[in-house]
Amino acid sequence: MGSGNILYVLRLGGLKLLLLLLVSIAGFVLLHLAPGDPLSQFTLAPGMTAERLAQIAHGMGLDQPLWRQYLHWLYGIMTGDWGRSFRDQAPVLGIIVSHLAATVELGLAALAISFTLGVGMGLLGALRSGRVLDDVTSVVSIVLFSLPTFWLGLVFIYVFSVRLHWFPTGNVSSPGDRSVVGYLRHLALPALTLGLVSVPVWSRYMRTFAGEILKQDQIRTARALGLSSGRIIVHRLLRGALLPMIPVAGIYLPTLLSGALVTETVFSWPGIGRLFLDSLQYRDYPVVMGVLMFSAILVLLSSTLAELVHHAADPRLRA
Amino acid sequence: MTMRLPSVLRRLLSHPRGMVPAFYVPAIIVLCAIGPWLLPFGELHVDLYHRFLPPLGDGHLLGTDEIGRDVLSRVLMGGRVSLLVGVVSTAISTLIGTTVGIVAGYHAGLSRFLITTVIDTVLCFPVVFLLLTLAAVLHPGIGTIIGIITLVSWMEVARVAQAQTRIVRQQDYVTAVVAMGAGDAQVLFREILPNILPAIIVSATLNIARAILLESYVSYLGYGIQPPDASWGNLLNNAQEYLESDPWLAIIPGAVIVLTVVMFNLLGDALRDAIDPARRGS
Repeated sequence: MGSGNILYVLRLGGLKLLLLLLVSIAGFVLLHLAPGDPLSQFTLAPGMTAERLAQIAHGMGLDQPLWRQYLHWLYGIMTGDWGRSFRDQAPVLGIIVSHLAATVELGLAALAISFTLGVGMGLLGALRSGRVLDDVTSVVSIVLFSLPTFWLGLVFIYVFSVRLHWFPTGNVSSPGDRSVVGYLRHLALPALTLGLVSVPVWSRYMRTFAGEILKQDQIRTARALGLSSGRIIVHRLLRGALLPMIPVAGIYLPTLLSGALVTETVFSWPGIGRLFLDSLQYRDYPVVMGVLMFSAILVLLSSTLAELVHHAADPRLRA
Repeated sequence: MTMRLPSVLRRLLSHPRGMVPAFYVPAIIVLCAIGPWLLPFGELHVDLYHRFLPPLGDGHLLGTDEIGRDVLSRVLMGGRVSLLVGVVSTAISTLIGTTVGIVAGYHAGLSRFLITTVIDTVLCFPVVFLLLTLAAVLHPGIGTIIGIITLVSWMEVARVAQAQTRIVRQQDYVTAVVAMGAGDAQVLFREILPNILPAIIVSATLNIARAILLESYVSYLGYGIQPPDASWGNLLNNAQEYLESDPWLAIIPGAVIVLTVVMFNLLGDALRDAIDPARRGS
């Protein structure tokens, strides 16, 4: 690794840290805009006096100036103390982590579906550029891009659960059924919903990148020399077009998280999307902010990782 | 690539992918604008004797909902709200985004760095999470919805405006105009703005589609337009409860959202191809 690379990593890391700081300020401001302050949960307690309330406020640091409250909060975020839920006083970070597995499983299943379909559709469009199949794949990708996730979920539930009885309508498992098959049956519809709506993220870029590579001389030469188009796809197109797709993974995560929120709600899937919405309903702002910060950190990490991998994998980017 | 309107329109209408949305978009706007006045049932008219009528039932073209309100009337009234939110938030975010984008694109330096940093910060939050938090924190209503959708939408326009401005700024004729002593204002309004306008229009069209979709998410989840007022999203609010017995309550309003959003997206794509035919297929 040369000094250029180290400089690149340092610059990237510094920029991302700056972004994270800005995100935390935005989060703190949002939390303070929220109606109902942290004390409201105590005001209704029996035997509560103004004096006692002031004591609690002091104990929580609410009598401090705002910038000190922010620094305190930021310190907590960095040291793993993300505050406690208004609902049950459980630590926020623990609540989030306990809901993470469900979202990760749903997200991975959706990723597999959307990546396979998206790359396939993009390749088809590029190989049949300007012909009917190109038009069809691009219209399909526009339609998928335009689908409200909740509506697609409802349609799937109606068709595959209510009508055909192939899959359950929601939740992770049926009572008394802990089998893997049962779990997969529950996963199928939400994963398909989330996967389908995020296909265009991959297909549009794949169409563009593959199209650019097809214009290059080496492919023309290979075709002119009579190499079958199947081998061209495997050897040049896929390798060449997948490389610039790495940063797209950074774009994909926010889309996936937003989609997961709605999908989990429709399918009663117990992930962080539904946790977020439940907490919003109960005005449990520490958890709301926790999920917002958590997802922002996740997005920053994944985009940084994608950029680093892309930088390492593509020799042209190395200084 | 200055835009000549007649030839752009001709190219737009020469292909079904442009022609269909070019007719649908004005049609749905007119339908939602005047349709509710022509229908016999008001969108808030409750009729408990005629609940859950299926489509085509008893004078109700699209049936009735759980308290007997006419679904077609509610879809059209909801369309007024959803389209209004889409168009107004797009107008504001296009104005903001274009201004910010030109400023960032015209001069390299601190302003460009600040603007891109702010954009990147907002983009760190998944959009729907951010929208819902803002909607829950603020007082719900059509103004709030327009405001928060604008807040998350202007960056897309700003990016396009910034990139286009940088390209135009580097063109030889612009350099020549500057060398001949033209001031910033003259260059901005006479050279840059007319040349980036086509890209801005395309971006705005796509933005309307996104805004309609975002409004439907927020209202569906109960933080947008509040019942009894209708919007395309909140029509599906309770639809999941009745999915088994009365699926059209979910399917019809959703299908209208999909159709409209698809058409705005197709229109944006077709406009791009019509404005700049060389780009087609790339």
